[in-house]
Amino acid sequence: MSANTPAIVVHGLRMAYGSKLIQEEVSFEVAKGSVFIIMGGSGCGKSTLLKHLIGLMPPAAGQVLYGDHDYWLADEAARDAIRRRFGVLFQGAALFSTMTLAENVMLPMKLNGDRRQSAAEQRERAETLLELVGLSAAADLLPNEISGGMKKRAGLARALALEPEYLFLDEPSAGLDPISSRKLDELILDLRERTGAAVVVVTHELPSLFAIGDDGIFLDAVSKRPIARGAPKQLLESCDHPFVHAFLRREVPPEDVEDGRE
Amino acid sequence: MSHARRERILALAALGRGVLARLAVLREVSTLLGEVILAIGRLLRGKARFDRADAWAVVQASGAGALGVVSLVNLLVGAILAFVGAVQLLKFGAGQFVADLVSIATVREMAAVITAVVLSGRTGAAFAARIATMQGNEEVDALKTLGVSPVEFLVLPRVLALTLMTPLLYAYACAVGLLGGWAVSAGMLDLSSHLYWSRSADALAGTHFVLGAGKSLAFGFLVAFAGCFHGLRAGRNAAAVGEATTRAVVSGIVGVIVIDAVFALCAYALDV
Ligand SMILES: Nc1ncnc2c1ncn2[C@@H]1O[C@H](COP(=O)(O)OP(=O)(O)OP(=O)(O)O)[C@@H](O)[C@H]1O
Ligand SMILES: [Mg+2]
Repeated sequence: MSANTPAIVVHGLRMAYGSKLIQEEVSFEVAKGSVFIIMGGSGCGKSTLLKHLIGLMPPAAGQVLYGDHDYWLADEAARDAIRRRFGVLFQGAALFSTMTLAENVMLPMKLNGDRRQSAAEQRERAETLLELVGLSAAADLLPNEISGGMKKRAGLARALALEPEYLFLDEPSAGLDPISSRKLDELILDLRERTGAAVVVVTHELPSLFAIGDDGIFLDAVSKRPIARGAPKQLLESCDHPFVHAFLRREVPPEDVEDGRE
Repeated sequence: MSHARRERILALAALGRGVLARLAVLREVSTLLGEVILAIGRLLRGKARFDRADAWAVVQASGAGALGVVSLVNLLVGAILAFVGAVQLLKFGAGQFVADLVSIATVREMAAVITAVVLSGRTGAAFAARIATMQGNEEVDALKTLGVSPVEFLVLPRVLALTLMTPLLYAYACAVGLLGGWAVSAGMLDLSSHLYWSRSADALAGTHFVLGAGKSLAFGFLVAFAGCFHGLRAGRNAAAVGEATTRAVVSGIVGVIVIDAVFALCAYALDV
């Protein structure tokens, strides 16, 4: 694998729940050490696309490649090896409700981490990560004792537990105040610099996607296909699709393309 | 095509769809059953991955935590058996046989069945609700992305804990049921305590206990399995948790009664 092979390649992906088509003809590449943004209106299938990337939902057609491996054709051992390099923040944070935040962050280390690491070392690392997301005071609280935005940040700390090579973030800044959101952007950029991880982010937040996005794709709920590809900043300047144009400027789209979209 | 004929074909198609849906459920059940068995194999080889603290909490909740309600219900059932028996047996002047009736009915049938029904409403429902909630919160997805099988992590500890705790609860339920019978016989029939306990001891044979304990082992597995199965199958909305719980309890109770009937037939055929 050469240095400039993309970290993730998605080719001709078709996603469906049973007979209900969500998106088709989705193709893109995510370069190493870049932030890739998945954009689109609510309900167009962004979280569903993430599920296909992280191995939770098999595609109806198409491929998802990590390096040289087609994830969905690989055997269980190869999939497991790929999965161990993932860090995932779910849209609802998906914290384990019976564990404290520190225990949540320690769980990936216990399950997939370095076996030689002692519990005290794991705890220390968990505290460092929680501090990174501004939650050091909440380490021993349970998920139902903290706010939605705090859950999101704790979920991010858990996603970072094993220094992932592939980081997937589903609306990381939803529920965060502008300052925390800004800090989060910096954290993501810093991580990309430091670890060279490929970061895939679903976000609606305009300032954030312009600030961090190196590349991206725009999914459309009506045609059930991607309607734009490229860095968000570039799309802002040059994309002439009326919906993308309106979306990135936070305008109401012209009447004729508005119906059916939220 | 005539109207009547069309109706008939539509009815047939609906029937077919119903059967196919049932068959699909059967397939899901056998898939989970297979996965549980594989997980037990991994556990025996020391390779299963689950959270010990969580497993221990399950053991406590499904064992010691159920003592109160198991006591109350079995005490009352023992008393009811004695009561019903006494009214009939006294007509023949055979009051002392109440002890035989209560002890055999309790040890052979009631303690196991009643305990399993209570556990289905209590523990089976709790398993379903817990797992369904985790499903809705994407916690199950999060486990999968960590490379952990939800069957190993969530189902295995629950099924094992309840399967092992139910026979213990059964033994306890027997004692409490006999006590309930004794209270009624001593209070209502003026049967001496000595006579009640000695008649009970004579009436009971080891096979009764073996049968009861064997059944409760099967019941414990069934109730836990039903709870976990419906929890894992749950949809992802808030209503799904309620639905999963209801299904778990209903299928748990029906399953217990069906298995009990099968055991009764086998016992009859084998003459034990
Ligand atoms: N389990 C499911 N079964 C059937 N349809 C589903 C399921 N989950 C999601 N969908 C449908 O798939 C579509 C895409 O859902 P998805 O969650 O991917 O949207 P999204 O783009 O992430 O939206 P949001 O921005 O609101 O998070 C929606 O129309 C939704 O109704
Ligand atoms: Mg989403």
